Amino acid sequence: MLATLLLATACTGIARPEGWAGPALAGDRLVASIARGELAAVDIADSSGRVIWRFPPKDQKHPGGSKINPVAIYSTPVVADGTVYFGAYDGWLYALDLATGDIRWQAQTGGPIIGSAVAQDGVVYVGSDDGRLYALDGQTGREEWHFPTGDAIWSTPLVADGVVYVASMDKKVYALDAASGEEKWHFKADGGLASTPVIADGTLLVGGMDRRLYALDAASGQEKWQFKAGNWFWTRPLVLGDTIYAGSLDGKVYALDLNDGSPKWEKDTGAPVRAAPLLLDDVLLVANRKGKLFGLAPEDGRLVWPEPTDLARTVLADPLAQGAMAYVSVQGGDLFTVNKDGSTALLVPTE
Amino acid sequence: MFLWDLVFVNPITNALIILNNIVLGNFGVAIIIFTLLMRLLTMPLTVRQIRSSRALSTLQPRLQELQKKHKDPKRRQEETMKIYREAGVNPLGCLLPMLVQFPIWIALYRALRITVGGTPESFLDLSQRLYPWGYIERALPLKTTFLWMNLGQPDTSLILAFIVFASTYVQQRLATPPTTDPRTQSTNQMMLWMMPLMFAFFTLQVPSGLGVYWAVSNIVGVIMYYFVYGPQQVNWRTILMPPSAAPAGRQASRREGPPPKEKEPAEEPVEAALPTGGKRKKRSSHARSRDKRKDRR
Repeated sequence: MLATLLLATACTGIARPEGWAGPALAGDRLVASIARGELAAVDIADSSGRVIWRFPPKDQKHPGGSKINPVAIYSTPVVADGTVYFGAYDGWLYALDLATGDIRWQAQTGGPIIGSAVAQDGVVYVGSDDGRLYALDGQTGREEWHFPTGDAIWSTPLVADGVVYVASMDKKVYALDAASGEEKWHFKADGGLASTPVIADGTLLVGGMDRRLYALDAASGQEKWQFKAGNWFWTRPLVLGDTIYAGSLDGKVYALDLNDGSPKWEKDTGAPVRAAPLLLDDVLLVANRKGKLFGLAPEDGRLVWPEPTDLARTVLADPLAQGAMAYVSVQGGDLFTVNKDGSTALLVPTE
Repeated sequence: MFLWDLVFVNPITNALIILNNIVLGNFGVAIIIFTLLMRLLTMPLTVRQIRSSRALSTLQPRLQELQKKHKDPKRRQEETMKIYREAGVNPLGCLLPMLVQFPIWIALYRALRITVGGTPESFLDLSQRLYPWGYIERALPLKTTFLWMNLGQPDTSLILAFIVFASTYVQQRLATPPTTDPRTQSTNQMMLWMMPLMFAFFTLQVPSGLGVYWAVSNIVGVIMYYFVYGPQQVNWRTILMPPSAAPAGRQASRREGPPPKEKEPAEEPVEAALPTGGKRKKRSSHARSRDKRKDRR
């Protein structure tokens, strides 16, 4: 009995990274992770879901000669100037040709890349589990500068007005000069920060593992207000007018006043919300971890669909809006389209 | 599964993080303290197990006699149980501490997978298991390195696997009660090697934090045996030497060690733990072979 149970325990092994990259749109192509550790460009012009290229191709190697194995992809790809940038769990940042999927350059960091890269003014910014924020030349991948934080960076940096904002697991959010990487200010929270910051009307919003959503003055880093939920904030908040929509791992989506953080309404989805909420015309789309999609009225949070749409799959990646439609990546690779009326279709099945 | 998590996994997860805070963020030390606490909690059972094992050994001469006397297995079994009852010994008593620890192992394994798994998914899972206390939340993320190991990953250096193997082996030798039944003897012999090998193999598969738990738990177990048996009864040389396969009956007849105290006139400690410096000198294998030759003649 002992042997059997121990064997069963051992067989489950260690925690395996699966990845939760969201899709990115580039003209009539959608770049998305459609299988664990794989990225693909999908033709969406005729809604056939035809795969144009996939990465990594067989026997593709790193400069050192080792075989490319991204392991898992959490980093939502970003497309700029015909290049797809994304980081992988193997610690490499890849720049691929959007047309062919060929590698333009690759740069290694000291740990898995969980957050997405940001491409701005010819520079690519990406955080790594090694605790550093890297600024790389978008054309060559050459390092311009890096900034060390006290712990892993799992969030996506935000670049606005020549300032890079990055949240770190060392419980701090940093404001850095985008050109030099010099620190302008930092703010210390009570818990690790894994969520991606957003900026609205000079207010920087960032959620943490201390269950708080912080509103900071983007210029000085001074705290304006904070809002406490029932669990961590790991989503990128959405700001529409003077309302913030933020999902929490307590399963609720909160609508808060941008000025003072006072709650306007909240909606319980029944499972943790990691995927960022987004707007499909006039419908607020919220997806929880169990794959239930909620079409809510932004003004009061009431369900505008007859009932939530159930994808019955794990949804952790940020969906992508295109007008009245959204693309939703589920864990494992399937890619769905979701319309503002709640109807869904499978665009690309996992292979 | 919900109840299992509620009763075992979540409390262990939170306890580990609290201990981690107490020891200033060293998760490896937190695991060691947790192990010591667990062994302390189960100490009454362990002591009972050791005493039960000792008591079993004292019954060996009677059991051996019984084997000779009754050829009918059913009758022999009945008489054996009668002897156990009279002596107040439960032959399964040795298993209890292990059975009690089993849910802790599984829950600890799950807790380690979640707390130091290192993947974003395990972190997400962790968020659902933490008690909503600021004291716990402030500890995150945990530092997963301890000595040369990443506690969330298997230790591929083989060092931990070796420590687990050696400590399991020693504990197993101390814990195995002597028996006159040849089949049980051969099973014990097999288990003596199988268990350490199995645990060493598992150490290479599971997060090294669990290996640390096993190693520390075994070492504490060995220390407890040492103190319950008494220093005179434990001969490390005998323990560390690989046992030779003894024919049935010989094991029980090998009376070694100092004269027993109290009510155990013919006490024979666990075979593996037998000291060689007792009043009756251990006969050499050479002498035994000589006897055999004589018998054959």
